[in-house]
Amino acid sequence: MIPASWFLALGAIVFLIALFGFLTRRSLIQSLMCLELMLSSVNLTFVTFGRTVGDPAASGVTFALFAMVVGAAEIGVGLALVLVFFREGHANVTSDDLDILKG
Amino acid sequence: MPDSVPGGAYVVFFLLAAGAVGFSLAMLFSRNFVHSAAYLAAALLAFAGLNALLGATFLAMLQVFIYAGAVTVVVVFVVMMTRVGVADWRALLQPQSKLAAAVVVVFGIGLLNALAGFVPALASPKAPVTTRTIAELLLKEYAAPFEISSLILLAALIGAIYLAKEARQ
Repeated sequence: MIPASWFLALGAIVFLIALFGFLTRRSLIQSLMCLELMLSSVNLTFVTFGRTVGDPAASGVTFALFAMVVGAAEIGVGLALVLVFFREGHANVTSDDLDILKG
Repeated sequence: MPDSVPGGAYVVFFLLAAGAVGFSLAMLFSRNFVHSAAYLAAALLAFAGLNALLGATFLAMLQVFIYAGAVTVVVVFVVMMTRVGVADWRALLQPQSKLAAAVVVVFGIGLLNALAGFVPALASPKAPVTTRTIAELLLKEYAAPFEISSLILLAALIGAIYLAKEARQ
């Protein structure tokens, strides 16, 4: 059996890569892609913990399922927002375009 | 993954881990958004393989269907529709990437520190999770969150349709 800590380390590394991308990319689409990657790596951590210290053992997978539901909802609404902002004339939709709440 | 072939499992793990990290980095540093989406799909497939390696085959399957399939297709759709891409790469980067790197390093140290505290407890893996136990858990213990999550999906669906619809003049 592969040590569970390796899976945890891998999940952390990919999460950090995606976090860096999320913080440095201005394009909303790339930010959303990085978010999906973060969710996926957290799911891996959930499953690893469920397999080792979870009680009951399936709870890790169940949590990952709920995270997946939220991720699907988030990407759907997020990309719809990207479409809205593109239609309003922001050529490459960046997070700087989202300033309608600015006074 | 059967324990009778430990070497094979390690090889598969390292291949999948290299795939996950490599494709994530490729996604990050690819200038073409369509390529970026393809690398994202590959990284998510690697994660599906890792889930399967952990014995969560049901979740691995869902990962392939939902993330590597549906989500990637929607991302590619939006990339194609909005025509963002190679033009003016510099304008798509935040100016404060050094600060971002510092945040990532600090966060990473904290994260690895927190995970390291768990390592002694991880010694004894349990039996692989079957679909039956997941179903029992979902429909008994987590019945309320299960229903709420379907409400979230419905709300997100309606919201996405409302947002993406052409504005009526």
